[in-house]
Amino acid sequence: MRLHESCTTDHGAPRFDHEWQRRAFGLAIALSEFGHYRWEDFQRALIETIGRWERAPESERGDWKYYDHWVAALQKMIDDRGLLTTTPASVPNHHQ
Amino acid sequence: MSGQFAYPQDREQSSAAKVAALESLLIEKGVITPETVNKVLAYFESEMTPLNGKKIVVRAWTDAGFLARLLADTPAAIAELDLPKGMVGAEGEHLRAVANAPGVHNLIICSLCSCFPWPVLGLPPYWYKDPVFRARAAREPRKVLAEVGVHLPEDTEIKVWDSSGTARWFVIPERPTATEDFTEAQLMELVTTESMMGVALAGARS
Repeated sequence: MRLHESCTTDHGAPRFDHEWQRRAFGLAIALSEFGHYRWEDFQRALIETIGRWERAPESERGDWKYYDHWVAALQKMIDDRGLLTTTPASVPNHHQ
Repeated sequence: MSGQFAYPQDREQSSAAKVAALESLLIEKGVITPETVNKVLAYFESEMTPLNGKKIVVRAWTDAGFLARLLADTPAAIAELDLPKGMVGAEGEHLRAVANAPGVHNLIICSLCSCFPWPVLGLPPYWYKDPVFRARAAREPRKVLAEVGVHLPEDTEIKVWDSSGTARWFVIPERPTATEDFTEAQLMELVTTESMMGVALAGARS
């Protein structure tokens, strides 16, 4: 097994390949910063989705796409916290 | 283009569309404002950069008392420095420094996901999140380090620190020799993000 080739070549390279990845990153941080979930809970969701990919057979799991996992974790947290189903007035109750 | 090659691009587009939809729905619901994500990103990109880590390393190189305090209680020692406000938030409370020394080399990884000491190093490079790097660095760190150009003597102990939600490690690399006359600015140039992750030595050309 070889390291990803960028391991030795992308020193100082940009951290995001696409703007949507940057937005997904900012969105996940923002929802945590504003108290909609604890960062550890987002991390747990991220670890779960990455773990599922790692345990799946290589033939079934598709290419490694880190930000797909990030988006899946984000979607899960938004669903779990009901952020898109509650009325705006009830949202501040989530603040810690 | 065949279906096989078209797939990843479709996947990109669907992820991009999903993120855009989530953000606009959250704005519509009043959970966030149209400016929220921009503000968070601007803060990250301007304040949470490796410049913070470089300042910490140079201070540790030039002040043994600071180094000792840094290793004993990392967030408290960092608070002594004039770093951007809010540094201690955003996971800063979980920062933990480890120092390289003759015979000891430290390497940081996150074997489960991609925890990283954002406040001092900014966002992680792509390969830090790569499953191959994460698995191999944990299993055979000496070999991985040699592949990225860090050849350590056989008797040098390699300590691998696995980051998590409650401990975000970063490395104080060894100060290169023959730098006694260097100014702080010159010393800062020797410190790279990679050296603060343990995948390079300070002063090494990348």
